[in-house]
Amino acid sequence: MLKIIDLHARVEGEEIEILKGINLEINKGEVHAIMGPNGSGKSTLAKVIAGHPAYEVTSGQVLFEGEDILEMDPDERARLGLFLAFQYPVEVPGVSNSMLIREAVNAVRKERGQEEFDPLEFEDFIIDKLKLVEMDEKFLDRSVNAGFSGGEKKRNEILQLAAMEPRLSLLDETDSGLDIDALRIVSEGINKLRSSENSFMLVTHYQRILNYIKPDKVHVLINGRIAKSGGSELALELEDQGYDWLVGDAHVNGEA
Amino acid sequence: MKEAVQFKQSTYLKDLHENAVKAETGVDAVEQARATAVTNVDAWSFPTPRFEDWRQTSLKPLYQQSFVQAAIKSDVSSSDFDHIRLKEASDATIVMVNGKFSPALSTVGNLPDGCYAGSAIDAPASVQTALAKQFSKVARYSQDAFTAFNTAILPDVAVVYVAKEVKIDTPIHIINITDARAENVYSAARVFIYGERHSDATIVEDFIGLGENPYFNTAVSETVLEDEAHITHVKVQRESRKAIHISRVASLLGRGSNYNSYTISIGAQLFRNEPLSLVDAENAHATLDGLVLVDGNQVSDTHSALDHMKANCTSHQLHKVIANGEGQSIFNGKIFVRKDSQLIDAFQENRNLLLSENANVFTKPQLEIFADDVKCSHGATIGQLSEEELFYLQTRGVSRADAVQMLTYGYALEVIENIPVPTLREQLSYAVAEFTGAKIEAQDIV
Ligand SMILES: Nc1ncnc2c1ncn2[C@@H]1O[C@H](COP(=O)(O)OP(=O)(O)OP(=O)(O)O)[C@@H](O)[C@H]1O
Ligand SMILES: [Mg+2]
Repeated sequence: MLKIIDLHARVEGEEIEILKGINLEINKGEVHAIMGPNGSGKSTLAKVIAGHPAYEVTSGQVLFEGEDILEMDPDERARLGLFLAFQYPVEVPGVSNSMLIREAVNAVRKERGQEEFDPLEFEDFIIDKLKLVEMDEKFLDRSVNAGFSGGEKKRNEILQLAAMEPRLSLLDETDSGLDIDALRIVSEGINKLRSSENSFMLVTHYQRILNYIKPDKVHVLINGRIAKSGGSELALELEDQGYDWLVGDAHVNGEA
Repeated sequence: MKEAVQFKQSTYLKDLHENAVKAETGVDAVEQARATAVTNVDAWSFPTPRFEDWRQTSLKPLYQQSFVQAAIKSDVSSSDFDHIRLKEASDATIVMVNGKFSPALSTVGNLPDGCYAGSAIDAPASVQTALAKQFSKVARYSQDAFTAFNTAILPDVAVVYVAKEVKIDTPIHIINITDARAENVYSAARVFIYGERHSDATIVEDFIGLGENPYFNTAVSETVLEDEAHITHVKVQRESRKAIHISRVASLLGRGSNYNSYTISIGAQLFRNEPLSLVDAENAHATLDGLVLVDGNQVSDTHSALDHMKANCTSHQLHKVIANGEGQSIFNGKIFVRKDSQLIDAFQENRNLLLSENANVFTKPQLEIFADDVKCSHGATIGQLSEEELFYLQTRGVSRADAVQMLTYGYALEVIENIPVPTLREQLSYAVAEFTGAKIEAQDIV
């Protein structure tokens, strides 16, 4: 599904690399968790995969279903089935949520050779998705994320995910800012969307979401590199011990 | 050669006026104002680029063309303006053709007791009294040849009068049509709005042109708010792309009154608008919001003045511009707070969105504060769309071009969404969408 080979990236126009050689492979149907301290490059990794123009890839490859996507615009990647749920969802005043989601759904439907929804068909379609994340219909009429609470924004990301039916979802700290009930609802929603055909990369600081969504693999990102990978038990270990015991390791690996 | 043009320019309005057929309304207040205006058109100079307020805007498109006075008789029919009708205003649609009230095209149903909408010529005594008191006295533009020209040649005045303690629930739509189908014409549109104590009404002043010929429209409107009156005043300038529209929108606010004005600039080749709000009593509030769309070679120029003459008042001015192509926008917004006008809370912001490299905006927000205990903020921004917002939309599969259109549309809505007339909001939403190329569905309209 996703194969990242020795990926290096920095902020466009700056010297210092943020990603310093990432290797990662996520297979169809798998869930991978990415953990790591603040500022280690987790969001940057997700944004580079999604095609954020602020970052420059200096070397390496990102293959999505075998195809190198680094030259593609973010919207092309999205239409191919790549979805990014933002750590900080952007407020878009003046653009209604329903307008955006309808455009999004129709963009992917068109790409897949399916008939686009007319506004009424879309309404029926989206009602089901709202139920999945237990969101009120009124959020459709509001401007995208504008004035939404932190938790509402995160739910809205998952609503969009559910609507776009991507093959690979990058969830950047979707669990942060959710209360216990919301976390359960969102996690259950995500679990319902899981299948043997799609994959997830879950960026998180906490074990609690992984109790609901059991990862196949856990990777620890430290200072722009994957310092350690393991099974779901690694997340528990990190919860207990923090990252300190890995920081030295990463450094050594980096020097090697 | 140069001298000759200069000379012609300085007497341009005077010459036009001299060749005009003398108009006569039979309304005392109007004719008295006209008598003064006629001498002023001769005395007051046509603006040159040396005038401080005309540095940025050239009137060449006006004085290098010739125009004839628009005929009073015209065969305009309902189908010429059905597309801008407001269904909420089906009971009060006043149609002015080339400045003259058209009884045949207008529909004025049963207004509440004491209220009036129509021509000054047919107005009842109470309205004549209001005209005698305030007509031509609110448009206090100093030595302004355009105001004088309008007053000197106007064939009629559209009047809206709202009686004491009456709330008119449906909007009143004044449709000003300039008929330029046969030749280059000039005309004068004049509006007088009067809200008695505790009255409440919404008035939409709309401007369209017919035909392909250039035309020159001067428009002056005056709004008087007595104590505690609430008037929402929308000016929709959707003239043809060949029009030169020079506009004065003046208001005088009484104690505790609330004047909310929204000016939407879509059409015309050259639009010059001068809103003037005289907040001459305590506890009043004035809103002077604007939305300007310019592309091609359009020029839209707003020179506003908001005068806090008394204490304890608030004002809000959000002027938003979207400039594309080689479009040009000028904003010069003055807010005065006089010496004894304490506890004023004034907000002013001019935001400019540049969609093309060749578009051009000039902005000059100005505060002139002579009182010491006030809260005033002003600012101006010129920018492109936010990269973060564009990226966000793109990650949702929306192409960059579509994302630009959606964001531009959203940017414009901030002004439109406050207009309390759904059909007008809808029309304007489509107009903005057409300007930006955005695809919108009925559901998306705010
Ligand atoms: N656009 C940018 N401009 C400048 N620095 C940036 C930019 N994007 C990321 N960085 C820097 O790169 C580093 C990695 O940031 P990133 O957001 O990827 O961290 P993270 O692992 O997601 O952290 P957190 O757990 O706090 O979300 C940080 O030091 C950050 O300041
Ligand atoms: Mg992050």
